[in-house]
Amino acid sequence: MTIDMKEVRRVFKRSTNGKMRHQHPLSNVLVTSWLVLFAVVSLIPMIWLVLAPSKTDGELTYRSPFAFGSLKGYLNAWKHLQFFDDGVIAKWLINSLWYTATIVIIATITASLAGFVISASDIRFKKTFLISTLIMMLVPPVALVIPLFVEMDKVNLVDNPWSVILISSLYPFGAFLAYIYYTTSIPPELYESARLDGCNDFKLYTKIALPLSTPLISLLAFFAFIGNWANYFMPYVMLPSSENYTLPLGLGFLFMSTPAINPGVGATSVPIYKPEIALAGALIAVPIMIMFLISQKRLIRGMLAGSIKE
Amino acid sequence: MAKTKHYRHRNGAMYLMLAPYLLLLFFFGLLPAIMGVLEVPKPSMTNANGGWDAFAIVVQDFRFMPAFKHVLGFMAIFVPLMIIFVIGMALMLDIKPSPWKKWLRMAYIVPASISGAVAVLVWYVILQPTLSPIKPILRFFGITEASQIWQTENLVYILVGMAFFAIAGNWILIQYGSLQSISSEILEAARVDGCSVFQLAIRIKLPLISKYIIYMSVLVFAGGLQIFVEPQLLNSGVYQGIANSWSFDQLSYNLAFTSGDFGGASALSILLLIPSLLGALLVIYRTDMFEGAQGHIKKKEIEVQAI
Amino acid sequence: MKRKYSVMAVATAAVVGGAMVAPMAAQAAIPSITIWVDAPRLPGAKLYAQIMKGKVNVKVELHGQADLLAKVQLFNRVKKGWPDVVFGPPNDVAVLKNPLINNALNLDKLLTPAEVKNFGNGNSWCKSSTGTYCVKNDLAQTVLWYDTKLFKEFGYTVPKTMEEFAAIGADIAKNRPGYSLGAVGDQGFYASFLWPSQCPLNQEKSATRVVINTASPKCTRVAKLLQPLVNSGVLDKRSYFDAGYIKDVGQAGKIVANIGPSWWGEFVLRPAGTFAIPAGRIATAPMPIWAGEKVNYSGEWGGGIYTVSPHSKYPRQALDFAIFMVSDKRNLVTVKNPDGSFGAPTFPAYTPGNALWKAKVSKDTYYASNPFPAMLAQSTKIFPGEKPVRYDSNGAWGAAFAPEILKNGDIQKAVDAYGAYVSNLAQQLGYEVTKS
Repeated sequence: MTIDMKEVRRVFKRSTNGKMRHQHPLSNVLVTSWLVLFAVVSLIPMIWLVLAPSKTDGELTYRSPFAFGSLKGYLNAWKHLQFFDDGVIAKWLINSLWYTATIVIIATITASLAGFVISASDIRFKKTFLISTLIMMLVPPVALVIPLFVEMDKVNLVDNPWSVILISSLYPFGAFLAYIYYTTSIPPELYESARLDGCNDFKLYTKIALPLSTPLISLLAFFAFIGNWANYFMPYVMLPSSENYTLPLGLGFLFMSTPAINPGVGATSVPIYKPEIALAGALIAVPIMIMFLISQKRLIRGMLAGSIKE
Repeated sequence: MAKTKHYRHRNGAMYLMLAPYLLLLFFFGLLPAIMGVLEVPKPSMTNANGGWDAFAIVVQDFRFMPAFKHVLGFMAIFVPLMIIFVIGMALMLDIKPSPWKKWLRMAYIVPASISGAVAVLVWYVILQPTLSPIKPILRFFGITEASQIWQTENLVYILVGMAFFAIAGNWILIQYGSLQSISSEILEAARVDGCSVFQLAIRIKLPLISKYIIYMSVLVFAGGLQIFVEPQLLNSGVYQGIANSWSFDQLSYNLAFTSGDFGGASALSILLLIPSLLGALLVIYRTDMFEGAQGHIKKKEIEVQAI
Repeated sequence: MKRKYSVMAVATAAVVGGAMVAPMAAQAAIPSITIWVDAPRLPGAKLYAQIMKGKVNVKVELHGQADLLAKVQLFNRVKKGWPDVVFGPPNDVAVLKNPLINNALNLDKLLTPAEVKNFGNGNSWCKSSTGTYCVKNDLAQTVLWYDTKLFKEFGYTVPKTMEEFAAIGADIAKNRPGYSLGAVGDQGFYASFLWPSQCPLNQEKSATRVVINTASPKCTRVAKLLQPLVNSGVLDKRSYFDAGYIKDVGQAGKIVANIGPSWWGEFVLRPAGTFAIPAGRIATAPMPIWAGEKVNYSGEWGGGIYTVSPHSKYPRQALDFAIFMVSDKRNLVTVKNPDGSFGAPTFPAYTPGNALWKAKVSKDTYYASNPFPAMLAQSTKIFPGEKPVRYDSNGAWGAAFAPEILKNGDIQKAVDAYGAYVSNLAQQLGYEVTKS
């Protein structure tokens, strides 16, 4: 994308008669207040969610939505959640942690390797590879569920966490992202000279590409984390046993089987109401938010690395 | 000769490094996709004789047209809203970048961490006048009863709201990033020539990031067409059945799992894939997606999908 | 070599002729079964697993009621993984017994004559012309729930007929504004009024024919009698579980009476999170009768079932679990629930179990008078015309009926909308829809 500076100047000379224009201070204030307003609106739901478990079900109705109940509220809500099937929620939390961690590792490594190879080698079918990767990003997951279930059954992995881990480790976004990153941020000459110095292809990756792509690796890991931490659909289909559930799956389950939000389910003897559900929700949402916040800076830096290079 | 040998050797190692991803792509992407297509002509409850009539049967399902209307209405609001709002926000953020504004950008992405079942819980509360953290706003609009909101004709707005907050923040961040990549020389030149903030935005910045905007449009379009989790969970909430087979993906899911009609479900998924695929191919072939020179643009675009 | 061969032969036989080998294996090894239950049934199921240790290996799995059909269809694809016995919502039996799904065993040959007798017509839901495809866990027959304090205060007597019920409604509208006889915006309207009035909505006559006729006089009389109550707000257009209704009416103690299922007192009237009616006020009465009828029929809202998989190697052991749940004192009365309560939460469908449950609920001081007799009286009067159907007849109340009644408040229009919606669903699944 090249812009002819002269052309730009010409256009603007014509339209502004060469006068320097400054932004009106009032509109500046308006813009800033709008930006701040939207930030406040964006924060409201999260604040509610984090505060809700501190209150009792009754207090949620009668007290201000932003009132803080008590620290004991969190403990009580956690205790009640543990009543559900003898504390299976702790198991769900652990499951979520280790499934997600494993997926993030496998997905990040395979995607970055793939991106590197496609950008740095002269292997065949590059375009086929890229297009099929792109198609995989667009296929609705519902369409693949049944074939995937049949496949997993063939290798006896239904109701085994590895089914979800393997399926979710396919990371077409990541592979594409890595490909673009490597093509733009590492000039081919670098590889050539390394080869002349006797580097083999593995070393090309470990000694050149990898050290130069730490922002990429953190980006890959970041998106793999947020995509899988909250994933509902695959675990739902592949893991019938509740002891294998993940936290989001368990939350959906609590949703359906307790009268917290859905009193129509009627009879229950499990003390799970809105504060408990909100706590489970916060346990899912807060880690994603923390990941967002700590990696936001890195994220922008990663995105911009290519352009800065030029 | 020696050189050829050298190259072959080199690619051997390359293939080896590519293999893990290729295996995943084949077994968990392409193979199931092919199996899904082969599923279509199999006999089922609704397509007793089997065959490719499955496509016609799905389109004639009495829930297809309502779902079509719902999704069309949803897209008509959602896609333009997303594009205009996100670009507008990114441009505003870009007017006078200052360090404290990074807190704003952080705030914008917070709603994205509330997804799936958690989002339904939160939206249920927000739209419930007895519980809502935005009670005064609801009152302002004369809403004192949840039943005023939870009506079928309002669902489209509720779902637009849910989908919007789920991804708008990420897009703002990404489009802001794309604006940052514009060379400062260009902007300086324009400024020197007396370009107003508004003109700078419309005449210089927008054309320079047009590719990102097209790409975002395609992804927002594909995502909107496939809306599933939000209506599906709403449907199992308090107003049970309110969003039954509301969207295409839900209809596809219901065909498969309540009617046992896997062929119909697959057929519908294929129909859904077509417009998204056309959009994606458009992006690939009409813009220089595969040309290395503009690589850094693509990178930003891709990130969005993961979100 | 020879030994290896014989081992293989046995293994092959076990796989190929599973059903034939099973009885022998049952003698030699301990049978094992997998049970799927929802959260309220979990304590009982876990207790059962403990009791059977050494006799039957019982694996208990928790599942969401809505998941079963999806999961079974997946298992059918790979031809394994089915649980032996499943607790589920009442309508599931129609889908599960469909030959294309084939996951409900005909229990006619397994049930002993004593068991059949003990279920009595409590199990008629599970019976069709071809056999018995499930056993009922609990009955959710509707009765009249009323607030004795308000009745006394307002000088009302318990209505015996629907006309008397409507007359109370008219009086409330005139003299007691703000008080309520319940809400109509959910499935409760079906269980409380349409079903007891014998309105043909889901009357499956055979696997290929269902009667849906909202123009029948049995339907139109419901709209005619109750429309004024909806107009005056005595019957609220919202759902019982609408947060606004809960707060403005339920928790405000303004429900004078309402028709509701047998679990209503324990799970809606009493809990702090729903209506929170104080102790000593609530009582039950038999259903009011529709004019010109001989029987004061009930409808049903819920009432779970157990189905046994035809793929189970140990169907009798699987059925034993269901019988335990509806008959054994340890589940019905003594098992401890997570919220600190004891025993089965709902009205058992099995006569001996019912007697045990009666002792428990009759002692409960929450109620102004013993709620059990009215429940018992209605338990044999659930109108049997409404049947399990293959489509989601319950979800359709939310999808078609509730939005319409909320918007226009017109009962007949909303019932018609429901009828049209389920007719479409029925035809899509291969039923012929007829008017009679």
